[in-house]
Amino acid sequence: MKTENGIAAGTSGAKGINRRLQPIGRDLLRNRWLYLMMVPGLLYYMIYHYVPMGGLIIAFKDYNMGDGIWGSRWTGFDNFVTVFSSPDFPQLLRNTLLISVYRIVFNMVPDLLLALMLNEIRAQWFKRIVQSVTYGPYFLSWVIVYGLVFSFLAPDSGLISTGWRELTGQSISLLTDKAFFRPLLLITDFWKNTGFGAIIYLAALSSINKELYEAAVVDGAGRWRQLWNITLPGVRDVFILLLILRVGTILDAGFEQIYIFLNARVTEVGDIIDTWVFRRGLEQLDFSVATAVGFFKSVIGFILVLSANRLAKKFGGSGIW
Amino acid sequence: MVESRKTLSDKVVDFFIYFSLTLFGLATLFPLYYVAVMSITPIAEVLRNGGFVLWPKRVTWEAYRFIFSSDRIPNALKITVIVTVLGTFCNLVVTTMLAYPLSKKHLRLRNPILIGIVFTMLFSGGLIPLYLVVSATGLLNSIGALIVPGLVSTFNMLIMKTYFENLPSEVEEAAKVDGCGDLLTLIRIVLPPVAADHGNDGLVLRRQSLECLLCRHYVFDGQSAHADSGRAAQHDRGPERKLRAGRQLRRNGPAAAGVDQDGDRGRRDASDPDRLPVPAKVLCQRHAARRGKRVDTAGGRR
Amino acid sequence: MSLSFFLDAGLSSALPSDASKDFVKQAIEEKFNVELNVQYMAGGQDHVNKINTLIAANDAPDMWKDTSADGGLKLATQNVLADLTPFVTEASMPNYFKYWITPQELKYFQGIHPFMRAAVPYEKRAYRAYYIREDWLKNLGLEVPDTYEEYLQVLRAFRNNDPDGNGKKDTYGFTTTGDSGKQLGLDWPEYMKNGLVFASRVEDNKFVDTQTDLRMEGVINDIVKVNEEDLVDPDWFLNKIGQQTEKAAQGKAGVVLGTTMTFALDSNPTSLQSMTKQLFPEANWIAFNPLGDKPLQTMLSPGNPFVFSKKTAENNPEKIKRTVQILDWLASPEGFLLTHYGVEGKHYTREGNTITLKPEAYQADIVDQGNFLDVWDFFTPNNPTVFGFEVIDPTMSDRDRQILASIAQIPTLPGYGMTLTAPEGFDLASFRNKQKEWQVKLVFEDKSGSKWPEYREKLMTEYKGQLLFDTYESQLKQVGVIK
Repeated sequence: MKTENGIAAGTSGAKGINRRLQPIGRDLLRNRWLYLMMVPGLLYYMIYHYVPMGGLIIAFKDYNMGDGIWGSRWTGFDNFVTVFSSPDFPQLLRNTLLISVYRIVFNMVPDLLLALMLNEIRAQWFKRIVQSVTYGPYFLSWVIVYGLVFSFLAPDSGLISTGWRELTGQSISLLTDKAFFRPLLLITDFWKNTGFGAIIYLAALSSINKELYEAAVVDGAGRWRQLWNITLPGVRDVFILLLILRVGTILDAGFEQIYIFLNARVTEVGDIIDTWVFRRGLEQLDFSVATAVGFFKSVIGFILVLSANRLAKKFGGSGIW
Repeated sequence: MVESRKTLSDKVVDFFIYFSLTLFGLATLFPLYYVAVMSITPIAEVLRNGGFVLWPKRVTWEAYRFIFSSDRIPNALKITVIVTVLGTFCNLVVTTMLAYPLSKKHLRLRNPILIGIVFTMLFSGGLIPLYLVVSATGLLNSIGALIVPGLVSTFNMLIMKTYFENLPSEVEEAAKVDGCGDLLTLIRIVLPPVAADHGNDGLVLRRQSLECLLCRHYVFDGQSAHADSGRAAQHDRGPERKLRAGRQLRRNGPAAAGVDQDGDRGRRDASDPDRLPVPAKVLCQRHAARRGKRVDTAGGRR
Repeated sequence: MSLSFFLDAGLSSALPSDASKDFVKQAIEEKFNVELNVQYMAGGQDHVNKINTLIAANDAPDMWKDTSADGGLKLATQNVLADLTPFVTEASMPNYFKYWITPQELKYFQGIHPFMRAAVPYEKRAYRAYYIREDWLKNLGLEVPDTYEEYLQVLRAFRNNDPDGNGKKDTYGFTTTGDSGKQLGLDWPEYMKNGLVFASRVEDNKFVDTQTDLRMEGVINDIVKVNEEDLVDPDWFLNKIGQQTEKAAQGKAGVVLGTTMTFALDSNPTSLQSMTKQLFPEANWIAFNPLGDKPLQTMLSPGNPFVFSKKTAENNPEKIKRTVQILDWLASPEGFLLTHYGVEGKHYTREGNTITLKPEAYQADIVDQGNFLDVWDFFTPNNPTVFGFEVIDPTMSDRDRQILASIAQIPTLPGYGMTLTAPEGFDLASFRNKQKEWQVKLVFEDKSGSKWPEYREKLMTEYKGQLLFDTYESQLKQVGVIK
C-alpha cells in the first residue's frame, strides 16, 4: 500500500496543497469503475448503519419518549456511572470476560479441529453425511437445547440423574452446580455450533491446490508435514480474521444461551453484563442505560479490533485492512 | 489429501478420526430425531414419559394437521422463501460489488472504507433509530423491510474480500488483456463458466472453490434467514436487539466461505518463487512451465 | 373516521384473514361509523417494545392497551399519553363505571400520577386455590387436609405410602415452579402459614412487601423442612412456569397451586384434570385450602391500563371521543356478549338473563377462525355475573361447578389497588434479583432461614431497599390508603 501511494505521489509531480489531494482525485479517476461498483454498498452502510447510529447519543441523555432522541435532556456520563456503580458490576464484568475467553479457546479451536478432521476423510459420502449432520443443531434455538439438557440433567427426572441415582444411590443436580455451569455452557455451545463453525474452514481447505499435496508426497512429506506446511497455512487467514472479529465482541459472552441456562444458584458464576441489562430493561424500560452499556462494549470492542488487526499484521498475517 | 502408502500410525490416526466423527455425528443427529419423534407422539405419551420419548408407541399427525389447518403458517413459509431467495440474490450482488474493489490494495480509500465498515459491526444506534430510517425510506410494511436493512452482511463481505485478495493476479491480467473493464473482469471471475473460457488451469481450480463459495453462500443465507427469524423470536428477550439491531457479528454468524492462502504478499514480486507462499508459487511454476521452462516441483516450504 | 388500536391477544390467536368472518369488527364499524385499523400482539416485552418504537417514530396508535410491567407509568411520566380528564368520565363511559370500575378504584390506580391511564376492567374474583388428588386421598383412606399440620401429614403419605398403588416410591407431595430457577416462587402454602399473603399488602397501616418481610425467615425454614423430608418434587426449582402442572398431570405429585378459573375443570380440554385423565382415568383433582379458612391472596388490583396517544388527543380529539364510545360499548352487556360468546341465536341463545352456549357453532365460527374473539375481548374479563347473567355451558360438568363453588369459599384480603413507583433511578431489577438469589441460597445451601435478617439488612442498605419501601409508603399515604 505504501509503495503504491509513493509511486502515485511521485508521478503526480504536483506541489503544495494539491500534492496531497491530487493523488486521491487521480486515484478516484483511475479506479472510477471500482469506486462506482462500491456505491450501492456504501450507500447501504451510510443509510442503514451510520444514520441510525445517531441514536447512540441517548447513552449520554435521559431518554424521554415524549421529547424524542434529540429533545431529551443531556446527562453527560450519568448513565455510565449508574452501570459502573452497581454493586454487582465487578462480578458481571469478571464473569463476562471469563466466559468470553473460555469460548474463544474452547469453541473456536474445535471448529478448526473438526474441519481438519473432515479434511482427512477420503470417503466422500462419509464426509458429506458427517458434515450435514453436525451442523444440524446450529438451527435449534437455545430454548430447545435447554429443554434437551433439562431432560438429561433435571435433578429428579433427568436421564443422567436417574442413572446416577440408580448406580450410586445419591442424587445429583448438575444444572445448579456452580462448578459445572461454565463447562456446561461450553459443552452445549460446542455441541450446537461446532459443525457450523467448521464449514467456513472447510471451504478454505477445499480451495487449497491439490497439486501441492501431490508435490509434497513426491517430496516424501508425511501426513503431519502436509498438515503443518500446506493445510494450516491454508486456513490461517480465515482463523485470524475470525479471531480478530471475535476479540471485538469480547464483552458479549453469549446472552441468548446464558439467559436461558442461568438460575439463581449459579448467578455468582454466570451472571453477565447483558443479562443484567436485560433484567433492568424488563423492569424499567431504561433505554439510556441499555444504550450506554452497548456503547461501552462497542468502544472496548473497537479498540480491541484495531489492536488485534495491528498485531496480526505485525506478525506477518494480512489482517482485515 | 493425496493417497500415499499408509503407515501403521496413519491407520491409527484414521481410525481415531473416523471414530470420533461418527460419535460426534450421532450426538448431533439425536436432536433432529428427537424433534421429529416429538412432533408425531401423542401428548398423553409425552406426559407419561416425562416429556422424553425415544420411540413412540403410537403416532399422531395432529400437530401437522394443526399447522396446515389455517393459512397462517403456509403464508409465513411463502414469505420466508421469497425473502430468502430475493434477499440472497440482492445480498450476493451488492456484497460482491463491495468486496471486489476492497480487495484491491492499491485503492487509496480502501483502508478508511474498511475501517468504516468494521466500525458498523461494533457500533449500532439500536432498534428505534433503525425503525425511523426504515420508515423514512418507505420500506415499512413491505418485503423490502426484511431485505434492505440487511443488504450487506459485513461478515460475508470480509470473507469474500479475503478470497478475492488471494486470487492470482494472472487471472485478472488475462481478463484485462482481453479488454475487460473492472466490472467485466469481476463478472468473468465471479461467473465461472465465462472465466473458464480462458482455459487457465489455475482458474479452473479456483472455479471449483468459487462454485463452492457460491453454493455455500446460497445455502448459508438461506439458512441464516431462517436462523434469523428464529433469532428474532428469541430476541424478544435480548438486550442485543435494543442495542445492536442488525449487527451481523456473532460467533458462528451467517457466513460465506471460500478463502485461501496469503497470496497477496507473494504477488508483489512474482519472479522470486522462493519468497512466495505455497499456492502462488505453484501457479507461478505452472506459468513458467507453460513458457517452456523446467521447474523443480517442490511443494511446501523447506 | 379511521381509528388505530393496538391490543393484546394470546400467542396463537389471530383475526380472520377473511374480514367478512369478523362479525365484531363489522358490528363496531357499522355502529360507530368508523374504520378500524387493529394491530395486536401477545402482551409482554415484545408488545411493549413495539409500542415504544411506534411512539418514537411518531406513529403511535390512537388507543392501546399497555402491557408493561410498570402499568404504563413510564409512558405517563414521559409526556406521550393524553390526559384522560376530559374523555373518561362517568357521563362518557356509563357502562364502564356502572359494571366494572368504581371512581375510587380509578383514583387508587392513578396513585400519585396524573390521570393518563385508566384501568381496563379486570377479573376481581380470585381463583387462587390449591388442588389435591382426591383419588389418592381415597386410596390411602385420608381426608382433605384442613390445617397446615394435616397438609404435612398428607404430603408424607403421598410420598411414602404409594398413593397410586404402582408399587414404586415415585410420587411426591407438592410440586411448584421456581420460574426456571430464578426464585423460590410464591406458590408455597408456607407463606400463608407464616402470615404472609400473596402479593404485597397494607397491614396495620403499614406497607408489607411479602417477599422481603422479616417473616421470610420462618417461610424459608418451613420450605427447607419439606424439602429435607423429600416431600417436594426435586425438580421444582428448575421447573418452568407451567411445568409444575405437567408434573402434576404426570402423576408425580398430589398437590399443586392453580390460579385461574378453568385450571382443573373438565370443560377445559387442556386443564390439569383433562390432562391427568388421559393417563389416569380415575384421577380427580379437587380444590382445597391447606390453611383452613385463612385467605390465600389479597384482592386483585387493576393490571393493564388503556391509554390514548397525546398526539391524537391534541390534533383530533373527536377520534378519542369516538374511541371512548366504542370502549364503553365493549363494557356494556351487548358488547360483552358479542366479544365473549359471539352472535345471539347463532353461538348462544338467551332467555332473560340465562345464556346458553352452543359449543359446536362457537368452535366452527370462532375457534377455527383463529380464535379471534380472544383479540376482541381485550376490554372485559369473562365475568358475566356483573350483569347478572347466568351462563350455561353444556360442556361444564357437575364436578366443575363443585370446584368453582369451593374456590368461591376461599376468603381474600383487601388489596390497596394502586400502582407503586420506585424512586427515580432506582435499580429495582438488581434489588429483586439479589433478594431472590439470597433466598434460594438460604434454602439450598444454608438450609436455614436464620441468616435472612442479615441478608435482608444488606438488601435494605446496599441495594437501597429502605428507600424503595419508604417511597412506596409515602405514595400510599398521598392517596390515602395509609392514614
